[in-house]
Amino acid sequence: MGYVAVTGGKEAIEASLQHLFYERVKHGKWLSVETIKGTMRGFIDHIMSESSLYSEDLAALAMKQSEGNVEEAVFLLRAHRSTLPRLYYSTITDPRDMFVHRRISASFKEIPGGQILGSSHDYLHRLLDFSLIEETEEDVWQKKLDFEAIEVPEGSSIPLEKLPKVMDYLRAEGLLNDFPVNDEEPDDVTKMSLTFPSSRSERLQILTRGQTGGIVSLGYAGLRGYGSSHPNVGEVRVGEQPIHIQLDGEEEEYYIGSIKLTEVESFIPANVSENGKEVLAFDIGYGACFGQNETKAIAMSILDHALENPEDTPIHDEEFVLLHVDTIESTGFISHLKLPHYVTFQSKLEQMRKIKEESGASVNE
Amino acid sequence: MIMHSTQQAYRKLLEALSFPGKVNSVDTCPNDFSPLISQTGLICLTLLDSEVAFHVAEENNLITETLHAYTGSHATNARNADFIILPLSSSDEEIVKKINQAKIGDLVRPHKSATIILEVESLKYGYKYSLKGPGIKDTNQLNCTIRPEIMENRKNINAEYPLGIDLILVDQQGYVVGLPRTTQIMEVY
Amino acid sequence: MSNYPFAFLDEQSKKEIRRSVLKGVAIPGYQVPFASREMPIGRGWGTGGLQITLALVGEDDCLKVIDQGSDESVNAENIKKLVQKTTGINTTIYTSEATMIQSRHRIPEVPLRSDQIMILQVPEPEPLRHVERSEFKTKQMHAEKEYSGAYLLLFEQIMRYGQTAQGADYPVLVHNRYVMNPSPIPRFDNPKIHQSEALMLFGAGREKKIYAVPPYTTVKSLAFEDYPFEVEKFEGKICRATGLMDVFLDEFTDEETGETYYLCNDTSYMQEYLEQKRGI
Repeated sequence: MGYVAVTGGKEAIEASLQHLFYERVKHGKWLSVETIKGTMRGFIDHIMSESSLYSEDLAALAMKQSEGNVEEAVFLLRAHRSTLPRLYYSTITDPRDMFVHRRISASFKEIPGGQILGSSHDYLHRLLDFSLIEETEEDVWQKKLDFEAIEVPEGSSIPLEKLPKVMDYLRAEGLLNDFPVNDEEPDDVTKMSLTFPSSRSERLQILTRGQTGGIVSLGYAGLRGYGSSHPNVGEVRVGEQPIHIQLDGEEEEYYIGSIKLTEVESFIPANVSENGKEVLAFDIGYGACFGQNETKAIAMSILDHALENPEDTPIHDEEFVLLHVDTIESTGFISHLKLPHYVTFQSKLEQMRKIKEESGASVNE
Repeated sequence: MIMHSTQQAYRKLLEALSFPGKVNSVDTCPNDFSPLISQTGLICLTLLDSEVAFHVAEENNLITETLHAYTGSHATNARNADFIILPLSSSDEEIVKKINQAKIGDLVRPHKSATIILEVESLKYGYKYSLKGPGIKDTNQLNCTIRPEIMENRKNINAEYPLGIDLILVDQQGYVVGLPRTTQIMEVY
Repeated sequence: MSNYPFAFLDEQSKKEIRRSVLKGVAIPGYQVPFASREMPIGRGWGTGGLQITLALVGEDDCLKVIDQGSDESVNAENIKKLVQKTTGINTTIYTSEATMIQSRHRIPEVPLRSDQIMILQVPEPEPLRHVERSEFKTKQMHAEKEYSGAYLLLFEQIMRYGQTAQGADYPVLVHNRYVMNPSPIPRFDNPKIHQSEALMLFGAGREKKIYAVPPYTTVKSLAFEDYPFEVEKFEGKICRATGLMDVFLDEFTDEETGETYYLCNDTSYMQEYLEQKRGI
C-alpha cells in the first residue's frame, strides 16, 4: 500500500528523519554557527531578506540545520518568526541616516559625496580561486591583518554618514514627478491578509520578503519586454541603518540597533501633466531589503513601479506578481504535490469510467 | 494561566455562536473589569488586542481605560468599532443608538462588521423568543430580559444579509448566548 | 520544542485566527481573509487547518488527524505530532473519541456529533477560480451573488460528457447565499456537510482564508433539475476486509493475481468495524 499504510506511518517518519539527521553528520565534519556567521555573509543576507527576520545568528543556525539548503533555511526562520510576539513597530527611518558601506549611481558620472564602491562582487573576475582549497586559519588571519594594516592616504577619507541622495538633485531641479510625503502607518501583511487593490506599503513588504529568484525573474521579464518600467539606477546604497522605537505615549525615541540594508532608487521616465501640459519627468521605483542583495533590490524597484502603473501584462498585474513571489507559498504548494492524492484521483477515476461507459454505450446503439 | 482561560472562554464563544440560543457558562475573569460583568471582561480579554478597536456605551471612561490597559486595544467611536461593549447600565435608547451606529460591513467585505457584546439581566428568564437559522435544528427558544424593541432593532440592522452585526449576550450569572446575524428571532407570546 | 509557546502560535496570532473563525461562523460559506502565519510545515500541507486547530485547541481536547482517509499517513502523523509536541494533548484514531478532527480530503464515515469540531484543510478555497483568475473579481462576484459562471462550468461539462466531470472539490451553495468549495473531499462526502451536527471549519493557509459551515445549515451541491448531483458510486464493489458497501472505497491491485480489490478508505472506521466484529 505504499506510503499510506493502515499502520506504521509514525515509524516510517521516524526512520526517514533519522536518515536525514545522519546526512548532516555522515562525513564526520563539523561547522560551528560562529564560523558560518563569519564566513557566509551572502547566504545570511539572502535568507534574512527572504525570511523577513533580521538575525545573523538565527540565519547561521538555520543554514547549519538545513545543510545549506536555502529553501529550508528560509522556511525554518519564517516558522520561527510566527512564534515571536511583536512588541513594537520601529519609528520611521530615513536612509539618509545610513552609515554607508557602498553607494553608487548609474545615472551620473559624479555624484555629490562621490561614488563609493565599498565591497562588491561586481568588479571581480568570476574565476575559481583554487588556492582557497588549501587555505588555513593562519592564512585567513594573515589576509585579515594585511588588509587592516593598510593606511588610508591622507585627505582621502570621506564622511559616510548623512550622505545626500542622488534623487534630491533631480527633485531640486523639478525633474521628479513629486508626491506628497506619506508617513501613514503601513499595512502589515503579516498581520492582515492582503486584499486587492493592494496598498503600496503592502506591495513593498511582499516584494522585499519575496523569493530572490522570483523577484529577479519577474523584474527581468518586465525589463525585457513584458513591462514598460525601464529604469535608470539612480542610486544603490548599502549600509547600516539605525532603527529606533518609541514607547506608548513617550516622545523620546530609543535606539535598538542597526540593520544592514540595501536601498535602490530607480529613475523611470514618465509623462506628467504640468499646468495642463504634458511634460516628461522621472518616476521613482523603489527597492529595499535586508542585507546586501543588490540585484533583488533593483528588480524590486522595477516591480514597484510596474505595479504602481497597472497595465495589461503580468508584470504590471498586482495579483500575478504579489501572489506568486513568496518562497514559502510557492515551494510549499509545489512540494505538496508529493502528498498522496488518491481520494481525489479515485473520485476522478470513477467519473472517467462512467463517462467512457456511457459514451461507449451510445455509440453501440 | 491566562492563556488557558482565554482558550476555554473562546471555545464557549465559538459554541455560543455555532449554536445560537444555547446557554453556555463562561468562567469568571482573573482580572478586575468592574463595573463590567466578570465574564464580559474575560470575553474582551479573549477577543481584543491592538489590531482591533472597541467602543464602550455612554463613553464610560473607567471601563475604556481598563479595557485598553489589559488588551492593548484602542477605543474609538461606535461607527468605527470592531467591538461595541454595552454594559448592563446602558439604557434601551443607548443600546438602540449604538446598534444603529455599528458597522455592518459591505458586500465585498461583510466581515468588516461590529460584534456587539451586550450585558443583560438574565438569559434564563424574561421575554420568550423563538430562534431559527444556521446552528439551530428546527427552532430553539431563548428566554431573556432583552426588550422586544431591541430585538426588532437588531432585525432591522441585519435586514440585508450578509451585512449585519453579531451579538454576544452576557448575563449577570455569567451565562453567554451568541446571536449571529443569520439567526431569525420572533417573540413568542 | 520547549522553547515554543503552548500550541506553537503566539497569543496575538491566535486571537486573529479566533476572530476570523467567529466571523466565518456568522457568515456561513463566506471566505474570511486572515493573516495566516508561516508554520513549521509546508504551505499546501495543511497549514490552514493546522492554524485553526492550534488556535482552538485546549488542554482537554482529544485530536484526530486524517489525510486521505488515513490516520497513519505520513502527513497526518506529522501534523498530529506537532500539535502533540506543543500542547501535550491526547490524540486518537477513533472518530467518536475525538473533540477535534483535522482532515485532508475526507469527512469520516462515522457520523459526527454536536460536541465535535471538524476542521478541513483547503488548498484552493475559491470555487470561482476556474471561472475567473482575478481575486479582486471573484470577490465582486461573491458580493453580487453572481454564480452563473460556476453553473456554466458544470453545464459545459454536461454538454461535453453528458454529466458533470467535477470529481472532488465539487462546489456547494451554503445557506442559500455563498457558493463554497468544500475542499477536495469526494462528492461522496458533500452530503455530510448538509445539516451536519458538528461545526465544520475550513482553513486555507496559503490562500489566507478561513470559512465555516455551522451545524444544521443548508448546504446544497450545485446541480441542475435534469442533471441532479450524484456522488461517486461503487456499485457491485465491496470492501474486501469488512464487506461494507456504503462507504468510500480505495482501489488496489492484488500483486499476485492481478485482480482489483477494494478497501474502506476511512481506515480507522475499517479497523473499528473489524474490532467490533471480532468482539474486541
